[in-house]
Amino acid sequence: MRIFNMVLFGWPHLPDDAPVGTPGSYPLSNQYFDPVQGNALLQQELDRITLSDELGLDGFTCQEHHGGGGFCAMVPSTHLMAAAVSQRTKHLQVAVTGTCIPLHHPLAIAEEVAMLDHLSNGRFIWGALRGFPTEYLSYNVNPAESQARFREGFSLVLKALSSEGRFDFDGQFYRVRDYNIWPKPLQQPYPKIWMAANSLDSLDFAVKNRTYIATPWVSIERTRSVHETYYRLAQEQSITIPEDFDDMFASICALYVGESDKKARQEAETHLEYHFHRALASFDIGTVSLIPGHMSVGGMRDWLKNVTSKETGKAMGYSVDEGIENGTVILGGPESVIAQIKRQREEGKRGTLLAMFQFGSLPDDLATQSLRLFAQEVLPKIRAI
Amino acid sequence: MAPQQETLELRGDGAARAAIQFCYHQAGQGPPLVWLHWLWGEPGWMDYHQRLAERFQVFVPDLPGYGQSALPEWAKTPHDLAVLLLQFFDALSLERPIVVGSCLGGWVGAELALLRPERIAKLVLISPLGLVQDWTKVPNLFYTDPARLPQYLFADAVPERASLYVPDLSNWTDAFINNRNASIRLVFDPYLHSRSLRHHLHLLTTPTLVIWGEQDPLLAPAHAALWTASLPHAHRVIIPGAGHLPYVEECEAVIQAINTFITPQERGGA
Repeated sequence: MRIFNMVLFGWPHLPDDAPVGTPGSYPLSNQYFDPVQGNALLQQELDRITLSDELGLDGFTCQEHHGGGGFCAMVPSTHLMAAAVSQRTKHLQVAVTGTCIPLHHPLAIAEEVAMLDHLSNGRFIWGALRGFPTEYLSYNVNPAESQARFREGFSLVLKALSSEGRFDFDGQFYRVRDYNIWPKPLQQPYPKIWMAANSLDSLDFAVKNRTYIATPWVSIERTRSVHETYYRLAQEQSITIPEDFDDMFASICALYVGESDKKARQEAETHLEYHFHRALASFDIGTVSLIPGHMSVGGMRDWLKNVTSKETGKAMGYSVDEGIENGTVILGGPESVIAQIKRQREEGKRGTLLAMFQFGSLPDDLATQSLRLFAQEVLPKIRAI
Repeated sequence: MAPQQETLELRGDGAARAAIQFCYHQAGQGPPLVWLHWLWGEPGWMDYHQRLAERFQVFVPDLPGYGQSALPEWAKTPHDLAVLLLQFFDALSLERPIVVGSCLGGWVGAELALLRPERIAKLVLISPLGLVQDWTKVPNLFYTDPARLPQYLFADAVPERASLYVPDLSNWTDAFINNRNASIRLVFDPYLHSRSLRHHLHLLTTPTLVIWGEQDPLLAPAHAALWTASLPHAHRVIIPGAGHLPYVEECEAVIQAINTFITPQERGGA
């Protein structure tokens, strides 16, 4: 099992009266953002990433989110974070999972990917993301075009990265004549690519484009079924799956190690609950998902079946025990954590954990303590898993 | 008389005009009148259609992308819908119909009249989209608490009436979801308006009536003046007690305004 330190930069200082899960609560009002506290959070996180490198973790990653939502996240530019991390670390892989393609010009993405690959001396992994419909509203990109722009933009990024000499591109949204990027990436033809795929349609796109998969915040059952589907689709189309596909098959979780199960729970539980019930819930997934155009008619119909307006805000909020059960939370003393990670691999087919060592309102010192304990007591024993 | 539901396959004309499907309702006898629906489509054949069908041969097409009508990939604006509607007119041999358009349909109607003024006898625009004073102040129909949507459309959002046009979340049908998806594709950016339309309107010579609900919560009735300022010969009627879809809340007043405009000698009511 490989472990990446995933940094979400959740905002730990939300006051009790901040709107949580109420319709229209995206974007989170930046009256809640304190510049001094925010700066401290960023610097502490960068220190912890440097420590992750020293302690032998496999990688770093972060996700692009805008307007502080939906996870009160502070990484509107993953590429800037990756650039900073590339200069502070020596060994770990520097990933983004990923870049919301339609919110940027694909040529700029390709050029930055190439730059990041050089800045990191070939340690960069790129990630392709469609993003949330709210982010399209904010950037005034038509949500009805998000899927088509994502796919066309992805093709253009790959073409720009891999093209030897000048190329032309004639798309519905992007048109390029007689251009090539400079520099080319260090890893040839381009760095490995993670795609945040979950639906059948997006998995098929990933298979056809031979990308690796990083599932979003989903259950162990779900990653197992995604894994199965990917293999089935590849087999049906006689597409060879990369040798390291299973090891790269990634999923997001919150991870906390304490000296014992009891201590871990005492230390982390309230902060996990904050993550689930306040930070995640501030997203208001109910109203967000109703933005037309982003989902197909069938997708929206299925979604409406599962979530009624009364449950908005609770859609992504569940208890810590439910989180452990469904595999989005790893929590306990070292032995329990090892057992949970085994289960992630065996039942969830996960080969890489994008693990949030800081989550919710977890204070800096506890996050660092957990990271050190993890590196010392857990990491050596999960290498062979 | 019950309306007939028809589906028309518009024949393509080589690569530039692929075949597309048009679905429409039709009823009544008299001069042809084409009703162009609002942003999220008609809930069905309604009382205002029926009232018009007493004097006109009324056609209510599902605009391309709505209902069973297809939206070709190239079509992205109300102007593009107008181009497609002209094919629909041709297919039905509608030489010079009266066009009545509400909301999105009003915008499409104006684009039709700009494209082919000779093909439209008279034009009625009911709180049309297309000209907006300050789009950032117009309620965001695409990102809001669904429970608030009726308040953005009606002067008095009586649930029985409002739910026909904006169903409760538990009653969203595939057709309604599809219509919302079509709508955002057409009017997302610039939101509900065009940056060039007002500069084109001086070319619109078709006799035009602009109808606005006095209490339109989406586009305030001051917007009616934006239209009449660009269309000096247009008539304007403000309907008291009505919102963005005035024919829903004040059906008779709207029908009377339309009838009076189309047949002036009957001024004062039929």
